[in-house]
Amino acid sequence: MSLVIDIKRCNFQNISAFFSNTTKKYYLTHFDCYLKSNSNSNSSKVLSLLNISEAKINSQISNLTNIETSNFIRNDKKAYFVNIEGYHPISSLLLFKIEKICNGLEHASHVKINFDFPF
Amino acid sequence: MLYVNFNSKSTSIFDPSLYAIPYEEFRLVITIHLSHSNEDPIAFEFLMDFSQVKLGLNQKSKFAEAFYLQNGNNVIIGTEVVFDPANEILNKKGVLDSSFQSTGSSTPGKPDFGKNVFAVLKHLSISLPLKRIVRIKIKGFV
Repeated sequence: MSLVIDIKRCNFQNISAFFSNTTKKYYLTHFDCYLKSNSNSNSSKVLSLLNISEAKINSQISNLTNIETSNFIRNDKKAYFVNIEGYHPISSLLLFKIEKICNGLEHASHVKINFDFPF
Repeated sequence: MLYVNFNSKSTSIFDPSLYAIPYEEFRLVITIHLSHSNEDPIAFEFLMDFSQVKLGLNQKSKFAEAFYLQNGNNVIIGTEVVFDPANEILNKKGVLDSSFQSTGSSTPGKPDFGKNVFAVLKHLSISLPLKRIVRIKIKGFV
């Protein structure tokens, strides 16, 4: 889904408004901040919503998809370091950060198990 | 499949018992590094917008699942949007200016994202193997 954004001056003040036609929302930023962020490579960037895709959210459900992890076999040979970060939609302000380590799960039907008894 | 259960009970004091996000819209960046590998990490970046999930005054919670597909990688995030007036954040400072959206009704007890409504993360699952786009330069072509 593409987002269309216009940058506008509001009330003749130094404020820019990003308008998303999809979400029907305005995001405000100081016009000077917008110019600075795009001219200075060291400062945080004001990003456009035009280049980011949106996750589809389904709230018409009575329960979450239940994944039965007991049907899966954990692959202990490799670990995945998962870093989850939430940023402000247009600025680079970090809102939250979660770090997790997890292993891959393979469905039991895809894994051949050889039992190796020590006796 | 990669599966992160945010509900797992841990005795570690460093693990929070739940992950409640007080923002209705944010840019989510998921970066995955694989052990025993010198490959670049795989990153997903997409917009999460919970503004479409509406809770009524009598409704305490609602499940919401976010789906995102990128390069054949399927990302599913399970959340529960919870109305919790008992743990209301006082002096809430929103990161988004919603002054253009306000249409007059300002009932003090209404469900308000970031103030008394939170998105609680439940699980994250990503299909394996992780696929990335590799650009191959072929000699003779410009």
